[in-house]
This record gives sequence, structure tokens and C-alpha cells, in this order.
Amino acid sequence: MEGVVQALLLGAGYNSAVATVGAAFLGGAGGLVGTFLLLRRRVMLTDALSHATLPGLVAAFLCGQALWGEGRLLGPLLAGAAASAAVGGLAVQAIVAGRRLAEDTAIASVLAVFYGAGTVLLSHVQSLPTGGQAGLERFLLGSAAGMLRQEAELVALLAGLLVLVTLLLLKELRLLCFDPGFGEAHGWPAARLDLLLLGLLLALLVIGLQIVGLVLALALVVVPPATARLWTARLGRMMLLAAGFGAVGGWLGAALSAALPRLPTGPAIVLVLAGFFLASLLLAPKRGILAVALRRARLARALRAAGPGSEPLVP
Amino acid sequence: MIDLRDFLEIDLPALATGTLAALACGLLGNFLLLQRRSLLGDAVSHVVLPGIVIAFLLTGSVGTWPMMLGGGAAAVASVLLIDLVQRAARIEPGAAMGMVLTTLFALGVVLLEQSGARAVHLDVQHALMGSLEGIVWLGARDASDLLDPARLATLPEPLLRLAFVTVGVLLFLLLLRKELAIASFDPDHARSLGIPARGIGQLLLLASAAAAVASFDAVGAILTIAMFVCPPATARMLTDRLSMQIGLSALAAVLAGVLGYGLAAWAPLALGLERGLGAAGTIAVVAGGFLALSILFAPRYGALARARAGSSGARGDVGGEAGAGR
Amino acid sequence: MAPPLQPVEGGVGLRHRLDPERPLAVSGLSVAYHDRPVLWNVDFVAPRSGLVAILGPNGAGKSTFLKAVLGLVPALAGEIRSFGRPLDRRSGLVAYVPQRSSVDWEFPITALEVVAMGLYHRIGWFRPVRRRHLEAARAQLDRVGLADLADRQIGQLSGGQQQRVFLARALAQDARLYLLDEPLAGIDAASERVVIGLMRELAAAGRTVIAVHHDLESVADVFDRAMLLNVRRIAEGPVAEVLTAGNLARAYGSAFRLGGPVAVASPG
Repeated sequence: MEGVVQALLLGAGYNSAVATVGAAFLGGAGGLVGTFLLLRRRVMLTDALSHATLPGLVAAFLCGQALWGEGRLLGPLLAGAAASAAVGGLAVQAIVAGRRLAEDTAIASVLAVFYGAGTVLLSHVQSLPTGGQAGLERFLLGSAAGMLRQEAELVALLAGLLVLVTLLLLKELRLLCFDPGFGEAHGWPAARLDLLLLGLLLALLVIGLQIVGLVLALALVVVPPATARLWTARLGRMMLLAAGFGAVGGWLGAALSAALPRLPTGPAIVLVLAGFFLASLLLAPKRGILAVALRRARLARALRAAGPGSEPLVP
Repeated sequence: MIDLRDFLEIDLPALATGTLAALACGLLGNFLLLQRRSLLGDAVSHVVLPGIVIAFLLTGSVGTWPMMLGGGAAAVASVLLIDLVQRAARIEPGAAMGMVLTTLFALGVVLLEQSGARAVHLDVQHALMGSLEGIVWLGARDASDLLDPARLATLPEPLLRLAFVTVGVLLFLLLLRKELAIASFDPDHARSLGIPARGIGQLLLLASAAAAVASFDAVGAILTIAMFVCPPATARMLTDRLSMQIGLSALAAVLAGVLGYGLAAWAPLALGLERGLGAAGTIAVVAGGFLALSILFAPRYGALARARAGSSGARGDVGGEAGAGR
Repeated sequence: MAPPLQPVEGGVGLRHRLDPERPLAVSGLSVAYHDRPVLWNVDFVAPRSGLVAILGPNGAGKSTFLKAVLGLVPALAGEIRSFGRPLDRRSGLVAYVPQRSSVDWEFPITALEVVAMGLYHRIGWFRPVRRRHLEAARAQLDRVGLADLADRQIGQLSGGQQQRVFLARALAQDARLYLLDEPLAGIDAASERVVIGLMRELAAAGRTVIAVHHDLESVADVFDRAMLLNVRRIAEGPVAEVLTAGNLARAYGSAFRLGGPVAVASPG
């Protein structure tokens, strides 16, 4: 218990403190980017892109090993991840453009096939004499605790940068989600803005690989905005709330994971976020389940008390 | 080069398990695809993990029945949750699925790690990557074993489990073909005839959960989705007939299983590598390869055929309109 | 749109509700999506035969009315009786044609197979579709003038032809009450003639057809009676009595005039 409190207050060592701060930034950025993805109805694309990072990640490791005998440098690994995720995104787009298969099929197949290719490469790495120390598995479910100091600093820095960029592009993204047609008319082509949004998502995923992991990265962009949506119908507030839920969830999840044994960071963050969602689902004042049920019951009562002359209403 | 006894002991069980996993999931995937619920296959294959883990925690066993019941219960619970989240949070179905599948999968991982339930067949690595290689037929000697019922009964449990599930899936599709078709094509009309489209959807889901649970040993929780989606999508590119689509998807699934396993087990040896590759992954990759080929070269709907036909799009796009109340 | 909270006066008497010849008697039907009323205390009695149009602006609850009658969407309150009993979908007495936009036209199925679906409830569970079922389906397809296109994939037909296939499927059911959702929306003139002709044929054979309709100009040409809806029932009766300036203003808002644009939008 003491350890948890210590981790929450960033007192559990410098590395874990930086990772916790990084996770908070990451969660906030996820909430922001996710808000726009959710409103654009493209949030599931995240699942395809995140799983599609795996083959690039492992290939980058193998290249690093072959070229300069060291595959574990974070920079090349993340570059490889970004490259193969981008290819996955293009593949989804190409499949959908063929108009024969729906987007959900495209997403599911790209996700599975790229991930499958990644596991094949990973099985090769594990069979190499040095493979045991590659540590690539931590990118699957995230491991803030296992991060090196420079890595944690890099992630925190990039996540902060991503929040900043998203905030700077606020007006453009709002336009894209609210009224792409109006945007087009005023010189903001929706296709290019969509690409921009995907670029932000890609950056988010790459930064988040170590903290939340590629298997569960989707939660980072879908849960906070969906939670926020329960509380408000206004875009500005939804963004703020989503970023807030994401940041707090990232903070709590990373701290818990650092403090407790055998608690991978990704699942920890996801479960904290899911807890926020569940509470909101029940209790949100307008859209919460309890509130809606109460108002429906009131409606039914009003109906039953309705005007004279009508016969009894049989349900 | 390949020793018969090695083949029977090591290769055959893995090959058969991988192929049956692709077949059982691929057959059911046809209707998931047609109902535009491919991502439900994604959800089901993920939530099988917490189901199996919770069943293990309750019963202390990873036997067939606890796994099946746990996985089935988790699948049903996830669909109810998806429906609830979608309606209450008023978000698109895909996003609701994403919420539920990540949350439940996270729950499964945490339970697995925390409980120290690293039982024989249960660990996170396995759930993420599958382990066909772990399925061996101990004590197989020669080809006559394949005809001896007593010997066959000693086949590894995952293979037997999957064989039963595959037979069940075939029966399910055979008996309910017409009901599945009407419930997938026009659920409102089906219900207006008194055919419970939702109930049939639930049955399809339960069958998918059974296939996902049975495939869990072979391919883990995530790669199952390749089996659900790729063979039917490949077949969808090639035909406009439902029965033909189902047949082609079965063919694609079996070929992916056999070629995929062959690629994993024997190709690396031929290239002089010490050890084989992860066969679950190679099956997914081969299934994906078939899909890519059909997307490019399918006679009528492939990219090349369409490019050649130019943009004389004679086909309407009424399905794209927002359907009322669906 | 503010929910109107006063129900209409009246209610449907036992005389209609218990009448074994009465295809449909709806009393006090109310439906809400979440907590937003879509239909409010609607009473409706169908004639024993003839054509009835359901009219009203977008979001007035027209399609929801048909779905709620069939029990496809849950009702908050209300009673649905058909031929003197609570409506039973399995009876085969009621045929339903959903909106064309509600299905996936890319589905791998032929026109003939779609029509045969109208027979599924009679074929029964687990049993396959046999040749004689397909022959029966082909006869209905012939009735809508599409026998030549029986083996085409359904998406390769035009919108009007698709609507005719849907109608043939309903005909195959041989029901006594037909509920059609926008059967004349967005179809070509030839298909429109076929569909209207068949609707009249059904009426002449003593069937009742209730169709959601959007084009006020043509109502009088096709239908005998009409119900004007906007969440509540505004009016019901012979077409000429329903389409009065006062009723239309109440349904569509005061800015509306016949022949002018229908510019009432609301979330639907």
C-alpha cells in the first residue's frame, strides 16, 4: 500500500516517476486524439494500426542486429514500428477503396495478418542465441517499469509535444469532425485533415508502445472520449474531459503497475480507464443508465395518467 | 528426410490442429462477414481469454468443459456489454466493441498474471502468440495408429476438442443455413415472420466462441481473428453465391492451415535455420496472402479486373445509405 | 422537437379489438428511443380491405409505427391486436416489407432466393428450401415482371426492381395484412406502375395494405385512406378528409403548404 502511494506521488525512483508522468501525458494525448477519431467514426482503425506495428518493430530489431550488432536502440525500433503501421493503414485504405469488402473486414484482416507476421518474426528472434535478451515482448502489453531512463524521458517529451501539436491544430480538427463540407469550401480538404489525424494517431501509438503496449493501445483512444461523451455533448468540454480522464488514468495505471508486482502497465491503465467509464455509464447526469431509466419511468407514468376517455393501456 | 514417426508425433497433430482451427473459425466467419460483424470475431477471440482464466480460477482445471463454458459465458457477456455500451454511450458499434474487448482482455491478462495461474497451457505469451508446437501426439509409432480407434483416442486433447467443435460447426451451418441466411440478409423481415433473428445471432456468437476457445490452444487469443476473417473475405472476393462462398472459404482455410504449417516447420530447416518459426503466425500470414491475392486478381471484383473494366460502375450503392433503425 | 405530452382523446373500442375480421387495431401505442418519445398514444384501426397511407414529416415515427406494430421495436405502452387476437408474427397473416435501405444489397443471394424467404416460416426450422418452394417463388417473381432476372445477384438489379423483389417476397407469404415501408420511394416509373398495380390487386382481393408514404401529391391517386402522424396521430380517415390545410399545418408546421417544399427536419 505504501508503495502504491509512493508511486502515485512520484516517489518510487526517478525512472518510474518519469514513466508515470509520460503515461499521464500519453493518456491526455490519447484522449484528445481519440475524441476526434471517435467523432469521425474511425476509432477502430487504431486497432489495425497498433497491431501492425509489430512486424516493423521486430524487423527493425533484426536489421539493427545485422547492421551494427545492436538491435535494441529505441529510435530505430520506433521508426520500424511507425513504418509498418503506416503500411497497415494504407492496406486498410486500399481494401476499402475496392468497395467489395467493408471497413470492419479490412481492419480485422490487416490487424490479424500484420500481427501474425510480427509473431513469426518474433519467434525467429526468440530462437536466436541473443534473442532471449531482446525484450521485445514488453512492447506487446507495455512495461513502464522496464524502461531505461533516457527512454522514459524521450517518451515523456514526445507525449508532451503531441499534446501541444494537437492543441495547436484544434480548430482544423474541430472543423473536420463537425462540418467537413464547410471545411472543404474554405480550403481545408477533409482528406488531408484525415491524413493529419492519422499522423497524430501514428505518433501516439509509437510513443505509447512501451507504456501501454500494442495489443491494448486501442483503449487509449476509445475509452476516455466515450467516457467524456457520457458527460457532455459539447466538443470543447468533451476534449477537456477526455484528456483529463486519459491523463489521470495513465498516471494511476502506470503508478499502480510500477508499485505492484506482476501488473503489466498496459492492462493496468486500461482497467483504470474502464473503471472511470463504468462509473460514468451508471451515474452520468443526462446519459447515465440510472438517469435514463428514471426519465423513462416518468414518461410511462405520464402516459398512464393521460387524458380522460382513453381506455386502459395494456402493456 | 522427414521421419514418419517424427511426423506422426510432432507435425501431424500441430498441422491438423492448425488446419481445423482455420476451418472452424473460417466457416463461421462467413456469416460474421456478411453481417458486417467481423470485428465481433475480434471481440470474441479476445474475450475468450478472461473467460478461460476465470473458469480456471473457479475450477482449477483447463479441461474442455470449464474452458468452453468460461469462453462461451465471456462471449455472451461481452456482446451484452457491447450492446449496452453502444446504446447508453451512443457510440458506433465498432467503438463499443473496442471498449469492451480491450477492457476484458486487460482483465484476463491481469487475472492471469496475478493469480499465478501459469498452469500447463495458460500463460500470457501463449495467449498472445499461440503455440501449435506444444501440441504433440506422445507415443505415436507408425501409420497404422491412424486407423486404430484406441490409439486415436490418445491424440492430444486440443486436437480432439477442435475436431468435435469443427463437426459441430458443420452441423450448425448445415441445419441452420436458411435461418442464418435470412437473419443475416434482412433481420427485420426475418423477425416479422417470427424467425428470431436475434436468437440466431446469439447462436452464431456461441458457435464462434466455441470455435475461438477450441482454437485458443493452437493459435492463442489474437491470431484467431485471422482465421475468422481472412478465408471468408478471400471467398467473398471470388463469388456472389453464398454456398460457393462457404465452400471456397473452407478451401482457403484448409490450404492456409497446411501451407502455413509447412512454411513454419520445414521451410526454415530447408534454409538452414536451426529452428522452425511460430506456426500460428505463419498460418495467419498465408491466409492473409490468399486474401491479398484475391483482392488483386479476383476475376470480377479484383483490383486488376476493376481497373481493366474502367470506372463503368454499373453497381448501385443503396446499401451505403443510413439504414433506418438498424 | 418538444415531446407532445397530451395523448389524443378516444381509444379503440372492444368492438374493433375483438373483431376477428379486423386486420389491425392499435390502441395507445407509445414508443420512446431512450427517453425521447417517437410515438405518443397512437390509436389506429385498419379497414377490412383497402389501401392506407401513413403520412408525416421526417422523424414523425412512420417507420417506427410499422415496426412497433410488428413488435420489432419495444413499445413503452399500447396494445396491438390483429384479427381479434394479440398480433402473432408467426401466424403468417401479416407480411412486412422493410425500407429498401435497411439491407445490404451486396449480400450473396439471388432475386429468386430472396423471394423464397417469404416461405421460410412455412418451410419450418432446419428443413432445406426445395424445388417446389423455388417454383412458388418464381411464380411470384413473374407476377412482378422479373422472372427473367431470377438468378441475378440482388444488388445487380435497379432500385425499382429490388423493391419489386421485396414485394414478390411479401406476396409469396400470402398474408392478409401487408405493411410496406416506403414502397414507392426512389423507384422508376415502370416499377412504380407495377407496385401500385399489385397493391390495388391486393386491395381488390380483400386484403389490407398499409404503406408508409412520403409524397403528399400522389396520395389521393393511390390510397383510399390515410393516417397523418407527427409523434401523435394528427388525423385519420379518407384521404380527402385527412389532407386538409389545418391538419397539414399541425403535422408539418405552419410554414407548410401543399406543393411547396417539405422543410421540416428532425432527428430520425
